[in-house]
Amino acid sequence: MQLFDKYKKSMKSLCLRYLGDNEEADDVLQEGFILMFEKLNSYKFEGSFEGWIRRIMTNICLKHLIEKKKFRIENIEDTTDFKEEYIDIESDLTTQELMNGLMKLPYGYRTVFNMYVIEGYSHKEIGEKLKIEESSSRSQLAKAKVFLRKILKDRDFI
Amino acid sequence: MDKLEKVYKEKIYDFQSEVSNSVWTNISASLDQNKRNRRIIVFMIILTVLILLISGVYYFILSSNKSVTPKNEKTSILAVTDNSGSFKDISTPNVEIAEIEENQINGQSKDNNSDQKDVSYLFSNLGSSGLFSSKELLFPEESKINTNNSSAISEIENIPMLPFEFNTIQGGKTNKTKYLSNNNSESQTVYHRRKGILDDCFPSKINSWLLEAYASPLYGAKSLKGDNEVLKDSRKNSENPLLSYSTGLRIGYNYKGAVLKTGFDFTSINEKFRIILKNVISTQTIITIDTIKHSDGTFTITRDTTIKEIYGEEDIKKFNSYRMLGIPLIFGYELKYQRHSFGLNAGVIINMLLRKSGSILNKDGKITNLEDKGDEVFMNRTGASLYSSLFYAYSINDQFAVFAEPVFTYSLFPITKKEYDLKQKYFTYGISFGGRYLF
Repeated sequence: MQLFDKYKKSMKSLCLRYLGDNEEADDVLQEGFILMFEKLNSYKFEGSFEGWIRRIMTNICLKHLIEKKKFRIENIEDTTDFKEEYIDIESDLTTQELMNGLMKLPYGYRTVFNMYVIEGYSHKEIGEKLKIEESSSRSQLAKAKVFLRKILKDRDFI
Repeated sequence: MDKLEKVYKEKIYDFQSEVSNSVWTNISASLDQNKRNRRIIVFMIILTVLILLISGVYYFILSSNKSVTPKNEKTSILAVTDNSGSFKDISTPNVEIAEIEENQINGQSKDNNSDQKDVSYLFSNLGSSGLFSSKELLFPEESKINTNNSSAISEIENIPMLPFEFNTIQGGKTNKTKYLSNNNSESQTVYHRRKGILDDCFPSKINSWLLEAYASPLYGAKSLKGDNEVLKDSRKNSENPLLSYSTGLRIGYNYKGAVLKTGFDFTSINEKFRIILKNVISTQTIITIDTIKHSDGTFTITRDTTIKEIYGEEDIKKFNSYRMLGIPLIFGYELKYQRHSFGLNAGVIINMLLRKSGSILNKDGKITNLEDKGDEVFMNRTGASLYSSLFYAYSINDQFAVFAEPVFTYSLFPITKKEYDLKQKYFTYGISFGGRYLF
């Protein structure tokens, strides 16, 4: 139970970021910890323990999303390359507001954003896990950021 | 990494969210359940190994040798009865033998004539064969009946006697009598097997252990009962049966036709889940970028983002499966005629584990995934099912047989929990095909 108490809140946030729904996040959190306890003997002390749990949770979230939600990420070539000026709004927002804004993204954008920006996966790794092209991952990230900026700018997360 | 990414990485990576108290309760309960399931499986494996070990010890060490293995290839019946009931010594066809009195059948010779050795007999009714009368004598090694044919005696003495029992393939009821020699110094049970005639008979396996392995294609007919008509209808419309199957291993004992069997049975009841979701929304993002060139040579870039909602249908198909591990306890009776065995069996299968996968609709019409929430609807152990079957086996030899067994099972208890609105039960029927080994 100590392990659970130590990591439950951060893992709950992780599940919430991917799934967007509190109840579903609890279900997946439950499933993730059960799997973690059953596989505890297989932890090889390579890398941090928290990193290992995060990977388990992320994989379970992705499995849940792919099986249940059936969101589609289209393989589209992203040819946009431009300089923009945007209003700097991110630094004014609280952590909860940033989180709320993130939860407003559609599943596809949010998943790629979470994996690339927060979890630190490369586009190649994202492509392998979600079975999409690397270019699609980049495109989805770009769109996610545009969409997210609009949400944050319009305060569309209240 | 741009500013947006940096802010999110720094602030969101370690963000903490509150967790409901029930999460740990559910985790703990699930881990305990998994531990219990593992213990049950280990227990089953140990029980199986013990049963096999005990059977092996009995067979190889404790049981007596039931097979006839004459060291000498030559065996012979020294006398037969013809249709008149008198006994004829066939080793010396020209010598007539005095009729043996009935009370000698039980092993006590009345006649202590010094020219006669003590005689013991085994009688068996072989039925009408065309070759023998209804009774046939089998003589022991000390036999000599009113004959001075010393060659017949020596022939018998060279043949070691081992006890055995036999069936005849020619029908009729077989009576076997163990007999004792009247030799005062020792008593022994001896038989004498006729070569060429009794070779067609199987050494008796009337009382014997048996091991069976089988596989069965099945059809699972589901019964859903309850007051919630809406839920009942939605589930009936979304779930349809597919080919199911069972397989298993049984060990049993046949005592004069009465059979008792137990073992393991694994059954998988399969269904197709299909639902078409209407008014499913997907979003399409359209970004329009305009570049405006000013007279002074500068550029202004404008961007317009439009989100379109598209309504459509989604056709969801899943494969549902209810996998059950059970222990059968089966009683039956079998009749054997030549190589064919016919029987009737009845009993119960006690369910030890139920695993479910796939999806069903809940009372709100939403899809419930059985891997995640199946424990809220279904039991992990479902009690007992009634079992009945007809049985036919064909003996390939005295040890192996193949069989076909039309089988019917009916769940005595629902596989759903009491709290659930509906009671779900199954009636399965199919044919088992398998092999049997007697030992």
